[in-house]
Amino acid sequence: MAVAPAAEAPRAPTGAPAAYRHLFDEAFMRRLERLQLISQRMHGAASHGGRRSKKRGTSVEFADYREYTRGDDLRQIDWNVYGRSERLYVKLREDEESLTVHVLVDCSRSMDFGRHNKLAYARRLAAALGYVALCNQDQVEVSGFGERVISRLPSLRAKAQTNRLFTFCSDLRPAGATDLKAVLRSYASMNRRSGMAILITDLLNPGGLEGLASLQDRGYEVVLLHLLDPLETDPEALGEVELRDREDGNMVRLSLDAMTLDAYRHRLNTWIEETETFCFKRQVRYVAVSTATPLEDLLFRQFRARRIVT
Amino acid sequence: MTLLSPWGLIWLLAVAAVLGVYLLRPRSRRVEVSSIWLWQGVLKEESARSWIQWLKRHLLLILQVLVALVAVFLLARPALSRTVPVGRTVVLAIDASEPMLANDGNPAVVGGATGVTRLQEAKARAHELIAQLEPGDRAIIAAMADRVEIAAQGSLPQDARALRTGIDRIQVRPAELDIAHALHVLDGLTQTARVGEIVVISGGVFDAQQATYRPPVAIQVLQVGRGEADNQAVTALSARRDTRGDLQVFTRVRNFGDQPATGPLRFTVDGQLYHEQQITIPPQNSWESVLTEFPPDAALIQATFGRRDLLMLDNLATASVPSPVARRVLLVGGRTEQLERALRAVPGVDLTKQEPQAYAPAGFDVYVFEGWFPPEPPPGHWVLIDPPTNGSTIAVSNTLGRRTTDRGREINEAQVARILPSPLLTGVDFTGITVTEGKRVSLPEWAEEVVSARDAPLIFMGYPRPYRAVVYTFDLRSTNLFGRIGFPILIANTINWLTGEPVGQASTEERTIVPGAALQVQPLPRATHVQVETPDKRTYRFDGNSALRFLDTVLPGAYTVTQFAGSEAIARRVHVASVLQPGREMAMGDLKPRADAAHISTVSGPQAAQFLILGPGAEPAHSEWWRFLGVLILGGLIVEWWWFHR
Repeated sequence: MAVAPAAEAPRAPTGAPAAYRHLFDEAFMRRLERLQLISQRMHGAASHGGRRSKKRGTSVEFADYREYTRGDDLRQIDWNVYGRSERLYVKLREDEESLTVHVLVDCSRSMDFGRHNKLAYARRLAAALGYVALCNQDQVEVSGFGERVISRLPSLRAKAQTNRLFTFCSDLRPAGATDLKAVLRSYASMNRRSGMAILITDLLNPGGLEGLASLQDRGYEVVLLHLLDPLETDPEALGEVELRDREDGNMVRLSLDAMTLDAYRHRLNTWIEETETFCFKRQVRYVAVSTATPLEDLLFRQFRARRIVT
Repeated sequence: MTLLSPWGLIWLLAVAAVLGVYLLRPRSRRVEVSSIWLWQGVLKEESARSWIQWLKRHLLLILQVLVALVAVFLLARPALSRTVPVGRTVVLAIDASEPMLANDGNPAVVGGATGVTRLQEAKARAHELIAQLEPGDRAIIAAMADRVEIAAQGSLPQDARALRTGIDRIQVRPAELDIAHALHVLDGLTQTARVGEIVVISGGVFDAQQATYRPPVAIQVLQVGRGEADNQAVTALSARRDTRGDLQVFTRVRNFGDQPATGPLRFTVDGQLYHEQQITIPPQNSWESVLTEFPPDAALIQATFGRRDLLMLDNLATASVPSPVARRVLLVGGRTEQLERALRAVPGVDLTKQEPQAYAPAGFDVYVFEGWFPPEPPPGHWVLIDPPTNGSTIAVSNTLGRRTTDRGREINEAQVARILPSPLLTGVDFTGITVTEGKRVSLPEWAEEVVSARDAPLIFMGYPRPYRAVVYTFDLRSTNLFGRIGFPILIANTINWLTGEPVGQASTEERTIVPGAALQVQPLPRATHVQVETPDKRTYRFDGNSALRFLDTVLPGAYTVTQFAGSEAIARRVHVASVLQPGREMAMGDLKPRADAAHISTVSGPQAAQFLILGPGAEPAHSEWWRFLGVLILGGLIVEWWWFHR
């Protein structure tokens, strides 16, 4: 099964909702349904779902033993242990809960750039991850942000809400500049339920990484998907150029030659390495994603390898 | 540095064009990026090396402008002016004319005693000049007089000895210096020279006015001798017999000096002093006299002016008393009295007449056959008049005469049509001579035409070995020659040419040659041997069966040529070698340097002998830079190409 190139409209199965046709075909979605987001932490959840919870519950998953006290449900006594030790122990079972997956998509103008448009790639990636979450009975919240959160999809719980998810993702449009730090701080403060925060951004915002701390302080498990287009990693322009900033329209004049481009690439790699180091220290899962990478390869190979999905 | 083609700088406009194209070209492209945040750092680095960036940004333009400038510079042909050493060709033209024997040469130059001739000084000067030449120079030693002779030529230093030997071998020729001719020859000698120079070493006795042409090289005149004029010369001495047979001797002595000259004038007759008298000649004047009462049998008379002067050689003159050479002529079959009279009128001719039947060919120098020819050619020179139809060595095919053409026009086939230059016709006017009838003969291989009809020879002459011959193809009676004054001259010319005597000159006249010139002797057929006696009484003996050229005539004086038939002297002739050429005595005796002699020089300013040659040979040259500039342009283009495609 092939994933359609990001710049092209994918073929949707017959009878699929309109939003599907912009994002994935049916076969791809069937494959997504077999994926599950991996959360490295257990989060307290308000509702039962398909994930382990800190709370001990009634699920079939064994958690621990404790001595029987009065009032305990006799059905939970492990008679096998009693047979061996003649002491009453009660089986503690994990309480299964649902995971809240926050997908934050950078919708600044800098994302609307690239040989394979980063925002288009981000839309599909967000939609795919959201769909994976819905298929696993996780709650999904998707937000688009620039200098602030500019659009927000309220919590989705069921697979039946896929269409809303895809429609929302398809409708994300570039707008304004980025203020990642302020946006993340704001997002962390206004959400009561933490969970997995998947941040899809190009990070082209000096100091934006500081905002990750705001999320973590609120108990978010952060996954940072750093989008980079080939035009950014390997610029093609040569000679006398005027570089125009996509976001603020500022311009700089440069004479691009091999030496200048080498310096740029060095600087870019240093920046990526610094970001990765930062994330490692802050236990943020970081994945640098090239928009030239097919989404199928990213989801089914790279994310699996990086333990983002399973 | 000079620009050989400064107009090439007009291509600087091309440089302006390059700049214009650069200025008009589209500026930097606008490229949109997601953010310039990452580029800011690069920009800082670039700013830190801004001048390098500026250079890099404009390197193509700079290279193009530089290449264009160098190309324009190249088109203007920049060159360094310098002089390059080059071997000179120096012609040392030494005057070898007769006045160079004047003894007023500078003894200090020669290092000898007094009495140094101008030629000796000239040679010494030439040696000094040879010493001034540098390795690589080429020298030509030329001796100038009436003609120019190359005495030696070669390059320094390997040919120095040959050059010096050539200088030493130069001898005076008894002739005037023909400076105009000499300059033409010297021009030819220097035409191939890159740096040519002519040094004329002369006593200055020549007519510079004649030299209107100057070779396009440096010409310098180095005058030798003190330039004195104290010279006297016997400019004329001739002896002749008057109508009574008495001997008359005419003498002229010229004083070319500026002071009166007094001295003894001595006459010797056949080597014996005969008369002496003291004479005084005013300056620039002549003493003349006609002396008589010489012995009637005198053969050789010499006059000597005894005063010491610049040139003693011209103080002696020699004259021979003219006497005809005896030639025995046999006339066979003579038809006319006019021919017989004409033959007898030739001086020295001893005529014998025979009929063809009595023909006895022996002991004659010339055989004249008229209307008959013997079966065998005679043993001497011969003349054939009106060749017979048969039995002659001349093949007669037909007769020439009046006839009517196909168109009915009457023509004379024997009419004179061509008259060619010939010694036979010297003094003979052949125009108006009519020939009414003749013999049509083919011109023999040994003969050349003298007078011809339209398609047949009338008179021809030649050398049917071993003798000479003249043929008249017509009967003298069928012409109007007898009535013409030129007829006896024609006959005399014929006899004189056959016997080797001067044609157009009475055989009794004195024969004068210049010393060194060949003395030509045509022995008579009867002669068995020839003896030549020189002025210093040396004798030479030659066979008498062929012509001879006697070359040992360097000494001025009398050369006596005697022809013998066995032991009998059958002819005697005195040839006088005179220093003063006949007709040029006055000019050659004047040894004073001419005032305008130095005018042939093309280098101004007085020149000392030791600095006469004009310094080291060098010629201006330009070293162009096109190779270097070409490599520079190529290198610039390569760098530009590399920079553009890197």
